[in-house]
Amino acid sequence: MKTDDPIVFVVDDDYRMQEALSSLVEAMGFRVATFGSASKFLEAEKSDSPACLILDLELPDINGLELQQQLADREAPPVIFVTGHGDIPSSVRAMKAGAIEFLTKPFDEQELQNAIEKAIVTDRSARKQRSELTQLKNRYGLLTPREQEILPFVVAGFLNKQTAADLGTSEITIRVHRGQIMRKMGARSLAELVRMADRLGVTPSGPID
Amino acid sequence: MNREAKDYEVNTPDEQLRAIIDTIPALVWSARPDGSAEFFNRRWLDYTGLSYDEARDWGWEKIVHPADRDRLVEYWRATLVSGQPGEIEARLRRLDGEYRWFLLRASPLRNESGAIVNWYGTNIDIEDRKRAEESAKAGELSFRRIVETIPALVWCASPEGELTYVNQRILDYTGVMLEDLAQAGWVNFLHPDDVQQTVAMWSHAVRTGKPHDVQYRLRKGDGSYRWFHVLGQAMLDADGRVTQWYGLLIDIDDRKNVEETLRRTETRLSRATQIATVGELSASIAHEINQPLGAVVTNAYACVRWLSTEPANLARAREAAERIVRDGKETGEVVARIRALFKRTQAQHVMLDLNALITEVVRLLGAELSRRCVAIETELQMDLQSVPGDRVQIQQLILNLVMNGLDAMESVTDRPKKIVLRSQKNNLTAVLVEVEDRGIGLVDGERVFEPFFTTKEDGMGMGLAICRSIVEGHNGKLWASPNKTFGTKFSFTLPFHTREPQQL
Repeated sequence: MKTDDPIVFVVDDDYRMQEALSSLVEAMGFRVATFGSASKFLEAEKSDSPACLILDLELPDINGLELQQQLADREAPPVIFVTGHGDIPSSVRAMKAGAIEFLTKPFDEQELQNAIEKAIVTDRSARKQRSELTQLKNRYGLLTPREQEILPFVVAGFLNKQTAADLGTSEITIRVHRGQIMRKMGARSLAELVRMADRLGVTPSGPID
Repeated sequence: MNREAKDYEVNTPDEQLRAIIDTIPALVWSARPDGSAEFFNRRWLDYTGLSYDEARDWGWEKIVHPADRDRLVEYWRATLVSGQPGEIEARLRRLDGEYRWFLLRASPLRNESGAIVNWYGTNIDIEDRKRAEESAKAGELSFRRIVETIPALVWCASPEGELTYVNQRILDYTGVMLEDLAQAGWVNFLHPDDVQQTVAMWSHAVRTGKPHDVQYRLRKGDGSYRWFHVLGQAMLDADGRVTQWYGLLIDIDDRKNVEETLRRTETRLSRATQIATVGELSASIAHEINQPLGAVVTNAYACVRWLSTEPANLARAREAAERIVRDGKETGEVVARIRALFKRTQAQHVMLDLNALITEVVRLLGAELSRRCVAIETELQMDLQSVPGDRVQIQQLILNLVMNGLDAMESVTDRPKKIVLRSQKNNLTAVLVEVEDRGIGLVDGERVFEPFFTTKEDGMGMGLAICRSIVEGHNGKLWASPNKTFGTKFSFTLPFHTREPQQL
């Protein structure tokens, strides 16, 4: 399922908090899905929408901070922590690990709403970047091995002649390849191609691994 | 008899009389009206070893013990003057020089005109009786001395419970006479608070003949009271009827005061550990309250939001409001529960469901357990009989033991941390509760219960000492034993019944 309507995930072992948060977040106009534990959240199939995760710091199975770390490796939504008794070390750790907000129960609804909105904006932009990168990667995949070999030389600013000499081919061949690269990558200028290569992690002047 | 009779020619009535006089087992004599002796029978002469001539007239005086002589002679002269029969005890010397006690009796013989013609007398050996009397007297004297000297207050009472004797110490202590104590007068010397119980127990003892055992405060002559342990034992005759009550009052005032001080100190210490526990658990308590409170506030926000939508979503608003009521009530219950746990109250024994108490403690400690990454398991026997006890104290006991287990596992990293709480019927008389940890274990299973014994850096060393005092205060037992693999098991028993009161 893919929709642009944001969804808020709530992970809290306390059913009272689940119910309350679910109702409030829904009243704020978001879709909500609640989970009683970290593992249930990890197992669940989630819709591909802008999202944020309201995470209880004290969970029975996996501690909230640990879950945050596990999620950091995946394309997970931004986290808003809530806790019954926030201690400073935990909140520092949470924020350093990229949490949007660290709220202590009972929290102010405006703070929660601000946090959710900020998290959704963050997620939207992250998702946009992720999709752009995916698109770039797809385009990069269309290049022939020879073209992928030539790209670093192009973005490093080498002249066709220099590149041809380096790769042991003719200048005209390089020029043809270069045109193909520009077309396949959808770059309208050399500057744009340089930015794309940068995002793809293509290092100028060196061969691609 | 026969042999002696053979010594005489018993022919004439005179000779017959003479034989009788010489033979009867007494010293016989006669005297003139002026008191001088004129006849002694054979036994008299044989006993004293005197000849007739040596003894006649006043010669007999020399065989009277010097200490008795003047008294005897004086009495003899007075008897002669009065003309009435008389008797006196005196020591007479035997021929071997030994003095023996005799009862001397004399009676006058009068003629027709009433004038005294002669005095006749017998001396009967009473040495043995005298000795028995004296030893009895000495025995009684020594008993009396014991009773008066022993450092206790001694009393006797009739089978009806009437006080018949008290020793001097009781009189000295109360500053009154036996008459003031008799006829239930002693009740007036009891502390007013002790009267009812003491009288009831004494009546019970008198009625049943069973030993009397009571403690009361007795008023001293100066008006102050001291605690006494009073013991009474009935002496029974062959038919099992009470013939006499003997009793003892032992001064236990100093011991009582020490006990009282100890109890008060212990109460204060227990209070102190309670407060220490509150401090230690404050984070958990805050969490326990914050959890439903957080839900209440969140629901309230949701409720307002649902009402503010256009059009208002009354159904959702109502749901949120209902949850507010539910969770609000629960917050109140949590607060009440925590207050009950740490409230300072007089010990109050009610029937307790130990399983419920254990569940309660586990619930209270929930956040603490997850904070310390400790799993808790309960294995509670269903239909566990309830036991009498003080709710706050027993909850404190379980809480202390679990906290102790948590502390014992603080430094453990190589195995999962776990606490197991078990309840079961121990035997026909008691419930057994076990608290098992996977901690570092104990070095000395008995020393841990000593006050101020601690292995923790910030420990006061009173937790387990207080646990033991709580259990013992409930007539139960608390002990520690090592687990087969890791950690320690603390077990305590609580009896189904409190000990039968001794009275009635």
